[in-house]
Amino acid sequence: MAALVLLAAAVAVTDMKKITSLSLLAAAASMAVAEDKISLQNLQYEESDQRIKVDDWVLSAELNPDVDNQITVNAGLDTISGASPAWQPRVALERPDNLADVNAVAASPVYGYDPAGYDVVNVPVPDEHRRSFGLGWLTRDKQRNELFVGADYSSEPDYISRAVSASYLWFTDASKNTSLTIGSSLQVNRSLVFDEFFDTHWEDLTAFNLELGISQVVSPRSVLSANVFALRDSGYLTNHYQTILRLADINDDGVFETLLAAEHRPDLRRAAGTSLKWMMQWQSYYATHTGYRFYYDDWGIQSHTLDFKQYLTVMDELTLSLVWRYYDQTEADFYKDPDSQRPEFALGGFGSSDHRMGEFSAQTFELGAAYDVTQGITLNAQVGDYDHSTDFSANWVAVGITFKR
Amino acid sequence: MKRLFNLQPVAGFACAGFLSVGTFISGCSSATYEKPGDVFQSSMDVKVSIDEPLLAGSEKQPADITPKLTPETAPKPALMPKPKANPRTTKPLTAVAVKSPVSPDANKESAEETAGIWSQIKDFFTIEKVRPWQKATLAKETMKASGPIPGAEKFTLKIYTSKEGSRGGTGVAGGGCGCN
Repeated sequence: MAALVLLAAAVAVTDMKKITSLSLLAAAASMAVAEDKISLQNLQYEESDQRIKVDDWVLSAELNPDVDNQITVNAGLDTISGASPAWQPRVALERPDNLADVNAVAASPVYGYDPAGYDVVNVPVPDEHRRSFGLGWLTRDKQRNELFVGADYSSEPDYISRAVSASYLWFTDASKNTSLTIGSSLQVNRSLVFDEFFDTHWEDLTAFNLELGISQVVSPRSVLSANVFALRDSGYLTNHYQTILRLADINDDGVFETLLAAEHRPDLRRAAGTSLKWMMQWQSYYATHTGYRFYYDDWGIQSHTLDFKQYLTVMDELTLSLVWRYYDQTEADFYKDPDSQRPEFALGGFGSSDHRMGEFSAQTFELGAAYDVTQGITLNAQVGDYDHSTDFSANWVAVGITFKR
Repeated sequence: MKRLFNLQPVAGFACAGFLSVGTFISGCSSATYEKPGDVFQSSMDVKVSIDEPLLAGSEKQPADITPKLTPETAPKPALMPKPKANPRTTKPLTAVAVKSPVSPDANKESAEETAGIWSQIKDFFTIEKVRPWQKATLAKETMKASGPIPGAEKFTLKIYTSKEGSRGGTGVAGGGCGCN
């Protein structure tokens, strides 16, 4: 009944003469009564070369007290273990007497000097548990325009994140075929970082995100959407677990020694980009999502992302998905490949040898299935393989169960 | 021109179709169909063909699909089913002759589906005014931006954010993590 009342309101702003009782009832039928959902999802993620392992659990709920309001809540618990590659001393790290003087002029903490040299090795990371909570509220007005506000919080031993977000979706036409979206989020985060003596202290960083989007229903089976976004990260953006090599003449003999230091990234990162997405239901049993994203930032990174998702409804209860994604990025201005001939940086200035700041491409293949066991209970499973053009690769298995009513 | 019954089976649509046709049946009972050309079997034991779909976005009345009975083609009185009482009106229902499941229109529909890829490409470059009752397909789970399993999509986004040097363009909701 509520759906009919709402529909009647929508009809008032459209050409009522053209709406017959047929269209009224048909539209009411197509206005899906929102389902309440509770979902439990688990991800088992593992990187090659015995690097990082992640065990991630997320419990989420989507509640619709009426057709105008939707509340989403989620809680997550993940455990990270394993090792992460970084420059390490080959034998032992010495701390010269004048290390304090070196640190006074160095752009980032210098840990010491190993005359035997350095290697990139997997450094064990302590097991970390991360807890996260999220709350969102979406409300619709009489024209079905949507306002969303949300808040998120996560905590781990060396990182705390607080985020607020809001977005507004506005239908520009009575047929609701075109919509504009504006959204923004602000993260206020804290990171526990090392100094030159491996003592720790907290540093702040913020991340601001602004997105503008347009979505167009192209046909009864096709939707096209475009999006532009701007990001502004500021504060401590360095990964304090990452190390680099710096050159300095520490004993004033005219020969530069290679020192082990913390990586150092700029305190400001401005980025912008655009994304396009085309969703098409080719047949009642076959749909595709095709997407492209372009990203550019003032660190020198440009990236292109292509993704192609196929959904095949084998039977009413079973939907299979096949995802292919290609990603390509250029390197940051301050990046040096640790495998290059001269991976060292000067004592001052920015520097990173984190391969995520480097040039690489990546491909993802993911196969998934969603199966309606009974009415209101859906099981899902995905397996994914993710390969970088570097020596990095990862794979994962995700399983979940969703209850609907 | 899009045909209403090209969309997925939805009980409400079937009901709407019944009401529009109106002259056939004044009630809306449970009924299912698979595709145009099929024959409805309602719970009132009255068969109705949906060979002639409605033209979406048009006020034009659907063509009269009732076969014109001539003295030669009309069934003999003894073979006519006894009219049943309509529970709403208590008036007896008029039996309607059933068309063949495979009609010329159905063949045409099939041919259109065969050549569907080209028309769909054409659809892509042509923005249609899609009416609310034509959006059943768009409401399917597979047409949601985040896919049928949104939770799983969030996992992969988290992986990409932590293993790549760029992010953004995927919405504003959500928090951060120290995973990168």
